[in-house]
Amino acid sequence: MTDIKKTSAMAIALAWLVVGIPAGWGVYNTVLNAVKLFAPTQTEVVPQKE
Amino acid sequence: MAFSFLNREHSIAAPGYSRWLVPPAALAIHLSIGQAYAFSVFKNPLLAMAAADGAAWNLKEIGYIFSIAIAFLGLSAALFGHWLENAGPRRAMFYAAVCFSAGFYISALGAYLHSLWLIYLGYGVIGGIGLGLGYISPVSTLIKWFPDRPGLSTGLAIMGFGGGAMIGGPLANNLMNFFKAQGQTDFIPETFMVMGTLYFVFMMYGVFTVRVPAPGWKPEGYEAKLKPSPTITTHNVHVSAAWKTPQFWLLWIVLCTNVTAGISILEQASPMIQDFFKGTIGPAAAVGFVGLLSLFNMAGRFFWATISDHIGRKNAYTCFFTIGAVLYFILPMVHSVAAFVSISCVMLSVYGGGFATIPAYLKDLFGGYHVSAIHGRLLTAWATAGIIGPLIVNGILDHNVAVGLPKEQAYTFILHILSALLVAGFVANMLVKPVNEKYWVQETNS
Repeated sequence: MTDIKKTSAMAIALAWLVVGIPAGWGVYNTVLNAVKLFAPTQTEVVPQKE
Repeated sequence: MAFSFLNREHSIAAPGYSRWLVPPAALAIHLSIGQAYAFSVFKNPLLAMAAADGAAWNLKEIGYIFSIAIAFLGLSAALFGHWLENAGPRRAMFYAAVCFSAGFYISALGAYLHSLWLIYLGYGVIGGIGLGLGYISPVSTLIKWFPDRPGLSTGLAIMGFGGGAMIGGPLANNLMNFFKAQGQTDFIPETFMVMGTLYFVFMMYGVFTVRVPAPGWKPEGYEAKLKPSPTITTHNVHVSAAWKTPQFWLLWIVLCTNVTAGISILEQASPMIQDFFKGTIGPAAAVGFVGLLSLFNMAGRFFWATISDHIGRKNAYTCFFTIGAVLYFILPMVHSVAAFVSISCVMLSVYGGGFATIPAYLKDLFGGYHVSAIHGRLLTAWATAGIIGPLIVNGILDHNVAVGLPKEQAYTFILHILSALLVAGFVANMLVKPVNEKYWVQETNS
């Protein structure tokens, strides 16, 4: 009878952390930039058509 | 074969190995090569560098660097897809890492010598080959690990490509600022060198952690349905036969129209919102808009590809094209910033969804046997869209400027053309039927 060693939850969490940290840093930077779009000075106007 | 540790047989997972370790390996590759979408952060520094030298590169010449890279992405994916099926994902990922990093190193030399041709060769040609190899390398492996959720698994990886720019952009900016603060005048070569090294190390994580399932492996409790849906085959089609089928070319049109529409918006997002809302949206807010579009592009890749596992691939594309065609049409009629931004975000999410759902659609129609190779050939649609999209946008904008018409009118025309293109994609998707059995690989079991 063979003893199958299953991957631990910790190993899976660590693997996701390795890619999650840089991805999270990228999302954080993007959100910081996106906030500028909704800065208080923004007002809604009609786009200039002519 | 050299480096035998990269062979497929050395990457077969041991019993008990969790399949949830494979998506992070794929993400390590896709988050890295997705940096390509952030190459524009180098445009102004390269312009300034050339100007200081008197070489006077212009924006168009610098723009070719990205175009060459995307063209070689499509070419290498089409050429090496079949090889990858035999060589395995680990070897393909390794070569992708070598090419992508070498591209940075050669470009560093090019920037140092002020040779644009070396940058074309480095980042464009060699880096582009790395992009193509890296893009398709985890696809069939993920589909084999997740036969029950092919959309979710490939969506996760391809989401990484969408998100790569979010890391690559600020990383490049921070590095350039760091080297400038150190008093370096040639800060671009240093930045390229560091980025090449960092990405190589990060991609090696993917190389060494990726595993292929043992022959005959299937998820616990998973039983493939004998006839799950009319458009999901239980048979396989060889890559050399697949591209002779009408289904391949219909999906080629589906991908090409979807990408043309999305890429046209992405490329022009910053000036477009500023032109639409003159005096309200400035350059800083426009950067935020571009960032938001990237976020929705990335999230849409995961969200829509996962949804497609439940509603089916054909229905998912019907949603993409219906939503897309309507939103592209009404966007120029919108008068508020919030509505404009919201609609654009949904448009970019379905664009990402269209990108990420294609591998699972191919698997449904052609089986998993050569899905990476078929996907590779289909990516020529991406390269084509990369040429068509900017041609439509820039051609119409240039024409309007030349004849003295306002830019806003050009955007309305452009968005309506893109809406019509999405209708063409809708029709192509509607015409997709199961692959004729004459194309099936003859096999004793499926």
